[in-house]
Amino acid sequence: MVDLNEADETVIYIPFKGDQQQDAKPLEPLAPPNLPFDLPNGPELRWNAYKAVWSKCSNRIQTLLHQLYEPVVAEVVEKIELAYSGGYDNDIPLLALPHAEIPTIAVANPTSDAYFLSSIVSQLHLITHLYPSDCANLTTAMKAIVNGFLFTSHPASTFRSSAKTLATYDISVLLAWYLAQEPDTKPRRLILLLHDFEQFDPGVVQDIFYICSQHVPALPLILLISLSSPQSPLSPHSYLHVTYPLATLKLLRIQSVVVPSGPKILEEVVIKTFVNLPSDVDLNDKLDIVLGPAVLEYLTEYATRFNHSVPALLNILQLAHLKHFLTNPLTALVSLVHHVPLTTSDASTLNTTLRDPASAAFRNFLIHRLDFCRSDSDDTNSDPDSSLPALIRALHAAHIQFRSRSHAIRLAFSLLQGFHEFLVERGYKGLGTHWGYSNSTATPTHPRSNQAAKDITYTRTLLRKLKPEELRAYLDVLIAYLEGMPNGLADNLGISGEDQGDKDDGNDEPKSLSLTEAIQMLEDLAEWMYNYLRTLTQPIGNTPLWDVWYTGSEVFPSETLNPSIRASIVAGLLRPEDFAAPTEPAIAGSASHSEDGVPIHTLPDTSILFHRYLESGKMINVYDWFESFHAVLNVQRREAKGKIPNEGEKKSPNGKRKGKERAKNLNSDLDEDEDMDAQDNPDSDSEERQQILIQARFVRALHELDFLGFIKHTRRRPDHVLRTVFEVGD
Amino acid sequence: MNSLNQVVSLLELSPPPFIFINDPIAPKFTIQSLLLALQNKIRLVQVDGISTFTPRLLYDTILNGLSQHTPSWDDGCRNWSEETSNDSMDSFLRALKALHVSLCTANSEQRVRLALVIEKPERLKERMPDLLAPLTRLAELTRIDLSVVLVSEVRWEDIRPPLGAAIDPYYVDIPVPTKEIIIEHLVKVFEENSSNSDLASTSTTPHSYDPALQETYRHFVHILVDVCFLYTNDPHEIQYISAARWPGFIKPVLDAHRMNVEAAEGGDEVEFERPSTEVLLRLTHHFKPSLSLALEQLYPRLTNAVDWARANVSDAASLAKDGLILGDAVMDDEDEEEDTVNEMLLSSPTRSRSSKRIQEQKAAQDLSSSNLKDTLPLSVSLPRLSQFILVAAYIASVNPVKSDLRLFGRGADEKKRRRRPAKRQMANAKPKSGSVKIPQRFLGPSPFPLERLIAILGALVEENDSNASEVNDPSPDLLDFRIAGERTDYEVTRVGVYASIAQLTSLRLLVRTTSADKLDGLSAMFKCGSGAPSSYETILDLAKGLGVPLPDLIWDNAAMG
Repeated sequence: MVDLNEADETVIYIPFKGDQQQDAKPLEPLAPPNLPFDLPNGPELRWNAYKAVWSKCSNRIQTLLHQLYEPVVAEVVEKIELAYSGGYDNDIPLLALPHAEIPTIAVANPTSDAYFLSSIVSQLHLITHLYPSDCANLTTAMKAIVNGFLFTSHPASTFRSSAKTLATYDISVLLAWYLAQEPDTKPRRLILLLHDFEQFDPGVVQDIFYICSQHVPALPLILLISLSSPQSPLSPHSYLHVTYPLATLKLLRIQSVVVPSGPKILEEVVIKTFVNLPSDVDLNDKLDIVLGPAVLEYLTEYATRFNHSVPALLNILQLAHLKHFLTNPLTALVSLVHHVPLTTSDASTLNTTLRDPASAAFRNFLIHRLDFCRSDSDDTNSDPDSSLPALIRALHAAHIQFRSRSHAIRLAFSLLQGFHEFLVERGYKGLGTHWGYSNSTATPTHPRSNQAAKDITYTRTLLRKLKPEELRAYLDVLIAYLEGMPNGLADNLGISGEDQGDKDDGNDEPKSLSLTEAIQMLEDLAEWMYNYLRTLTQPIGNTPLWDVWYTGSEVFPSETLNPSIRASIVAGLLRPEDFAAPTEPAIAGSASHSEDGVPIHTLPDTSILFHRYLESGKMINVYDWFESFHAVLNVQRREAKGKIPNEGEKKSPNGKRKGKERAKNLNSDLDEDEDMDAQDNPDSDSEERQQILIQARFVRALHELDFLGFIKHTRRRPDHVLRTVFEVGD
Repeated sequence: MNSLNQVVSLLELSPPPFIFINDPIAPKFTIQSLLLALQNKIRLVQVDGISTFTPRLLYDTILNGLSQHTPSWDDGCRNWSEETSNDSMDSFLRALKALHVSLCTANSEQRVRLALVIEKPERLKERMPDLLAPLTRLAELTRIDLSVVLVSEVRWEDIRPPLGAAIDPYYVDIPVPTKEIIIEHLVKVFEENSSNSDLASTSTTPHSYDPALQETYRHFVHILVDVCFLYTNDPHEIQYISAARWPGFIKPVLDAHRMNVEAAEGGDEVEFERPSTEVLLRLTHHFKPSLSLALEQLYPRLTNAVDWARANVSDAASLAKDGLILGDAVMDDEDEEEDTVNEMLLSSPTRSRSSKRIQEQKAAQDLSSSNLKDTLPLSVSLPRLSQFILVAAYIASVNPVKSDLRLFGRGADEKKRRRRPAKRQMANAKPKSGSVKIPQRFLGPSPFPLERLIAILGALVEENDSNASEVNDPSPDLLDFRIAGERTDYEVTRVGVYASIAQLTSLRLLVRTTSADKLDGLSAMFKCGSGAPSSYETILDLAKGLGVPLPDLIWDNAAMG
């Protein structure tokens, strides 16, 4: 299991365990490790809580995305259905085209989301899928097309070709089949879906299009092309227009559909998932975990910089959730404390869990935390049983308080966003460029920085400057917004009721508004807004036990998701012991290692070679390199001889096995216990064998470095190699 | 069409065994004319070099076509021939002879003449070079009355089998179609359509291909051909544009007639007559700007005829402005009046006219842009790092390797780098003897190794994107970057960078020139994809968005123009 707190551990070493047939069966998911103050069944509880919370979050995102796709899917399906039958308006009969065109719908689908295509496919019949691998040459491609249609219509109907019939790859077979269909059951269209269109060989595809076009419209073919390049399929720079000649484009009647994608869509999904909850969402469906600014910042950064696809978003969120549940023992409470009013069963689960003597540490920790946050909490006796109901009550109170606080912050965000949009609509700058669409997800969601405070102050200033008619318009917007909120919210917050009344008064008599009154009202509104927002945006960290439901400013484990390859490889070669099975006690326990790292002769072969590599000049003489390697191995041998009883123990822990064991495996088919013999009574024969073994290990390690790209060969000096990596900041 | 008529007469009277027609402009058009002229006169089959991509397909298609046999699904798609006829040239020849015999016995009174028209024979040469020579000698080999006609865009010299294996053809060169030929063809198409029973029977109201409109159509086609002839002389292309524009062009006339019919209330039959010259002039004036627009969009197929016609229907207001609401019935008189009043108020008649034209053109352009409005520029649709990679790839493709260190190397003296390329250019400007160096721009993007791309990317990111990496770094304490540029080095070797390169490759914005399964030896080579990623303008836009001074980083800047 990865330790997500370690920022510099970017690579996980999965030890090779040989050919294990039983690996085929899926492994049981590992339970997360125990943490200090954990409950006895804490790992399990947290794992289950994680699964529940994450699936809820992931479902929400998927649903939102599917809602976004729906209109586009409908558009594609409509275009396909109209392609042959009544596609033309009655007032514009298009005749007199020089030749028939294949109706082609080019879908630019940069996210490459499989859901999109599958939902199109589910609404249509008789689709033949064509993949780039089917189209190595024209014969296989045509065979795939003909057989595909025959098979999708009746899985039983196949065409057996003989010397006296048409060839299986002849499109005339398809035509004959189509003509033989009963008129009433005759399919009205045959859809050819080309997946990953950019990967097809253009030469083959040109010919396919040509052949198909010769039989349109007798054979009602429709091409559905799935492009993943972001440009619209009809722009002059699109893949289609750049790659295919005019002669091919002439054959197609291309219509383009662009699937929504890119940062805007991502942003909409994120905002709708975490901030602007639609009012119809039940309380139960609300997400349990609130993501902190650090995660959201990283999310924005990653999306704008590297990849704004949906899978990347899901990955990041999942990792953030996983880390949250793996590192904090208190998160077990997520599954134990429910926000719905107490039912007896919930309470009893919580009760029994906390009553368990094994969870005393957890209980004490909890009591400590609650005390720490709330000085007015119930007096805590040393007797756990008596304080337990109070503790549970306090837990629920904390949960409710957290919920209302996170609601308040969301509300504040929406208010600010609403005001910003109102201003932008009227041609003002709004709250400044940082509220622009590109990065509004990150900072203001959970105001913790000065920026939020600044924005709120700025809002007050801006409000004071509104003109009277703008004031009216804004009040209308604001009141409409507040009235649209769920009823429970205002009570929940317990702040707004009175103030809302004030504003309503303002709205009732706008017509008889004199200038001074308007100014007064602006002043009132600005002050009220300022205070209200200030109240709403009290830091979320002030609530008790906030870290159970809030990831706060916990750093996102970005190195796990997006490590730097070269740095990781170099680190792995320099300090292999950091990567090999960190849980094994041997490393920590063995006192024989020096303070600043392990001695070089205990490292794997490749590492030894790499250490020497770093000490050399720009060019390395391979023989000198071998000599130095040999010297290290000699130390290794001496050590092994000196501690024969220790050997079995030494093999496993400190990464040494990597080189040595494999080297032994190489050797083992010669003689099983050759090593032991050699060590017991070294005669000349085994000495020679030892030399060969060392050479083999050297060559092997050399090739490994070569394979990793650390070595460049020159033709001029075959006995030297060039270094490719310099100045490793160790 | 003289040369084509020649071919037709030849084939009817005494055909040479092998005719080669070279038509560099519109072979498809030629073939259609040829087939039309020979219909019902001799037995012929048309095959093309693309559809018949194996010998078996070629034999099957020829035999089934000549015998006019359609394989049916119920008898298992059997071919015409009872014998196996498609496994070799020999069996094919036997079957061909048998076919001729059976055809002769079927209609005994006259001799049966066969003809084989092959389109795109150059593709046959690519796929089945051995077949071409026997095909030209088919008459000789089978000893039947058969003629082979090849129609190609390329010349016979370019596809002739070596060593004189094929007989010399009867050469026919089709001249470039003149305006008259094109107009004649289009009018013929109009006639075909006006006699089209489907349309005539559907309604009593006239349609856009009503015979009464033929003269109007001829006038329209004249203007259209004048506009398009400079750019294309393929009759089919002009026919395509005409098909897209004509229904919209004639629609005001048809609408007017419809209104008249409605106004007559079923009383006396309103005769549909062709529009007057004045109306015609007005129509021409109104639609002329849209003709060149149609050419711009339809010829490169930036949209298709159906969608274009639908998007470019003139709305009532603009028609009214040009006095094209032709019905006697008063539709929206007020609007019209208002318009004319406005016009009069605006300025003198001449000026209003010219401004109107500009307006029209603008409107037309707006329409065109709205057609393409979903075009996403790369700067919006790609993540920031991918944009950097594209810029780096462009630089690596265009610059020579030796310039990298000078352009991107950072040493003690910073000033050196900009001066040196300038100096070099001066030196280059002197005429040198020896081979002329072709600027990289005309050579296309050259491939570069992955390492070079990463190195240039690092230099670009280091200089122009320093702030972005701050956020990305989770824990500044743990990663200690002491050497200048080390952090960037760390950043550009992230997994995300390689993933972005792979992603761009799968989008064909970068092209990998070495095979993907080769891990050993030389490193992977890439080059910019064709189109957008290797056009200077696109990359310049990207670079501007990123703040990269691209012109300074191009070695041979003069050539970029």
